[in-house]
Amino acid sequence: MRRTLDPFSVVVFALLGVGAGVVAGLTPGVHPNTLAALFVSAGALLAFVPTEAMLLIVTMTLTNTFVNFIPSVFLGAPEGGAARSLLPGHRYLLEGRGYEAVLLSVVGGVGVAVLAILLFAPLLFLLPHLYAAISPGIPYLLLAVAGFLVWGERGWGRPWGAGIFLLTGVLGMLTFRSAFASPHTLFPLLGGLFGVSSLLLSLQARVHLPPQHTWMPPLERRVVCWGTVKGFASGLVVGLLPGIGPSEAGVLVQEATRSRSLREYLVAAGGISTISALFSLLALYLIGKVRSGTAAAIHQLVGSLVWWDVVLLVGAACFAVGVGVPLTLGLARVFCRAAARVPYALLAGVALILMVGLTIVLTGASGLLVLLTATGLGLLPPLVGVRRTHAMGCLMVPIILFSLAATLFGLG
Amino acid sequence: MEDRRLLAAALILAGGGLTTMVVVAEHPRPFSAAIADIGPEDQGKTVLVCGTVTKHVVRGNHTFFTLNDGRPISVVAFRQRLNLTSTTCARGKVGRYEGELQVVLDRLEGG
Repeated sequence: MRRTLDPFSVVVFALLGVGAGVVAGLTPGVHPNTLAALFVSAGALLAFVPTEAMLLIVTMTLTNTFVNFIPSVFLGAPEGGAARSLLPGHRYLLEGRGYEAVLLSVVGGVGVAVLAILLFAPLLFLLPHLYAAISPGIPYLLLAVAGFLVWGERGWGRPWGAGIFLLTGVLGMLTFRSAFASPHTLFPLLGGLFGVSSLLLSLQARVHLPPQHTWMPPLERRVVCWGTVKGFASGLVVGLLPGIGPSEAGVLVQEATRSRSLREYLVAAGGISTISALFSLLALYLIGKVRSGTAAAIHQLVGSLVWWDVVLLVGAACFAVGVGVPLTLGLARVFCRAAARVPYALLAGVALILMVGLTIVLTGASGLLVLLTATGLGLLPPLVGVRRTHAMGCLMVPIILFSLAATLFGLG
Repeated sequence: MEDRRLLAAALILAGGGLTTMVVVAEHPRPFSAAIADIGPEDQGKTVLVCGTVTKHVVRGNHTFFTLNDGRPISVVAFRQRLNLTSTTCARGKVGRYEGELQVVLDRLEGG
């Protein structure tokens, strides 16, 4: 069916997506993947307007990457003593610089968006060739990444890191390949490993946030440039390698470049979130691979993408980034004022209840069991003083094993 | 200061994105079609056609083949030497050569 789009409906659906992205971004545990899947499965109306629905999903995803900086900084901050597993955003929060952490992340997101537009044509050419070159070696690359991350620990941290990687890998295998598997399995798994465990620690530590100010020292051009470039490169890793999340990619790049600048890390981390969302959409067009739930939803709505879709997606992404920036900064200021007035325990408690409730609604009793187990494992890294990134074994181990089986034995 | 610069960049991105969406919306999306449905009025449009590969010839750096889904259409891939399976889908622009419609290949997709 050949039809043009009504520009008014394009703008309406894009704005609806921005609204959904704000909701997803602020609500702990609600991810655009979940909302996208819900939209598609609910979709008699959306099936009638697949392109408009695609716009909604894209703007929702990109807006979420910005607004999500707020709960990731302001919620789930563990006790300050667990330094190695304390995310830079939380360090800033405990110093009263939460707004600065959010703003640095936003700078990274805008930076990589601009860089992606400037490098769009070379990327269209390079990415398929790059993927074709590395795809036979993906399981070995993932093993190398896991080894590099473990080796980056010191002393007893290495066996602990390796142990957590393997244990979460076993959990991932059980979750995806057993009776626990469901369309929303990722939610309790990742929510328990990274979300609920952080919230429990912050509640137990009775974190008291200092007053948050919105002033920040001038931003060095070097920090913005290097942070953006690193975020972009890390996002490339996330887009090309399955099982690698933004935080692992960020740690990889920081370790590889031996950078200790927290500001640069925050800019890079903000960039990674944005560019990995963009790449997961581009990967659908360039290499025909679904790298995220939102890409899967788009594939289900419109099938194979054509260049027309890609240009539309890029336009929608730019719009969402442009609208997401003032929304995020405005909401961050609100959170700064709320942090001073609302007990942190109340915020964390509400977030905890939301995540448990959503788990029960989306995945039932089996999902709750996964959540509890994942939470137990997720508590290990901060308690033993290693990086939380090792818990991504929950995705990397299954992918490594399945890829190896396919490569070596032609299975799967 | 950083806020203002960021907001300026955001405004430019939002405006550019909105303009892009509205401009693209004014043009119809490339379509997939049965070969029999492709006509002279589709010249210049991007189309996806699928079918059985017949008459596969490589001359120099170019590949010429015919896709047949009940009706045949010529497909030409300039500066591409292709190894084709028995069935495939070709995405490309509809053109005309010596009075006959053909598809100038942009890329192959799974059959």
